[in-house]
Amino acid sequence: MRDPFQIWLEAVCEQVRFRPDRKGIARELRIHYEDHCQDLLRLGWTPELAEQRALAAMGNAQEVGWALDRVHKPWLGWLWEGSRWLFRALAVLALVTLFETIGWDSLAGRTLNELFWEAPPASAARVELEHGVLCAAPGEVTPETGGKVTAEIQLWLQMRDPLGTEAYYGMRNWFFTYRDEYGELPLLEADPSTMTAAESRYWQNRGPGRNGWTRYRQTVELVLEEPPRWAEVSYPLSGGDWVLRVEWEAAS
Amino acid sequence: MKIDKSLMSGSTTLLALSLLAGEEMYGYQMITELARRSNNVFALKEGTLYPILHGLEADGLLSVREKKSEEGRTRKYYRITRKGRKTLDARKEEWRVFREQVDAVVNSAAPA
Repeated sequence: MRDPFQIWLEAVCEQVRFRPDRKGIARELRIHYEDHCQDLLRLGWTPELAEQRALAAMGNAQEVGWALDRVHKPWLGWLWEGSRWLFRALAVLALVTLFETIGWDSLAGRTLNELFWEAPPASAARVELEHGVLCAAPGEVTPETGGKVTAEIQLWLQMRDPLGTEAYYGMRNWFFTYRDEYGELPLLEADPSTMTAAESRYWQNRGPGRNGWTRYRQTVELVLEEPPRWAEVSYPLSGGDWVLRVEWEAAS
Repeated sequence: MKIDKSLMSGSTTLLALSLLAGEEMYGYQMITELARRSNNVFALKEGTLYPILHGLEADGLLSVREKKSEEGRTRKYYRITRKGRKTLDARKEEWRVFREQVDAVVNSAAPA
């Protein structure tokens, strides 16, 4: 046998022409009915009598349904739904316009850069540039297979905000050059396994640097034939005459 | 004592707003509170409370939020809005005048 309260509930909801509201109405009425049943059970009523009493107390299903239908008017409901969707669409459009204007990469990158930012140590080499400050410090040196070593250089780029696109790209570290005592290192652009012996020395970005306007931290990895004593970071294209030198302590 | 339904129906907005003037409540709580405060004289058919509440919400006199109770049930709690309080004050004044005039007429009905 079907639950008498469910039959009552369906009779109520059938009267409500604005279908999207039916579920919420049914849930609210059911909770009310269950609350009443529980109260009666606490007073010592049997479950059957409690359910009968609670159902009878709800009133005539059609009358309740008609009254609810008068409040949940279909045209008002659809107008409300439509306005909600319109508002969402406008909000998305506004966000897209905002991101398109300032750049998707920049917005996400800037947030992440701020999260990952750590101030450079006092011992880091430092240079004041037109658009900001660059600091560099030696990182770990790790032996690799094949007799090579990787040597990290930690970079901290702090740009003055706001920067135009040109200035921003002028501060990107892929324009930097790296050299050690054996000469300049090329930026890795090929798969290391396919590189020839002449290309076996190179540098590459290793993260976590991301596009951003204000400041970011970047690890650069030099892949070398032997542990380095020093390396220099410079940016000849900047027009400025500067070199940052990082020095590793000799292995004991 | 049972009260004539038609007497109740004209006062439901005043009663609902009065109940919610002190604290937010859910529907069943309002029914039990109404019965308690009126010494069980006002017994609304419980299902008919919801069209009243939904109507008051649509008119901006009540706001509603869902809240999980201690026993884990999510209920809709109704709260009176600023507009609702103004309406309540106006309805109370209406009621005061109405009651006084009804009393005046009823008490003057007996021949001297």
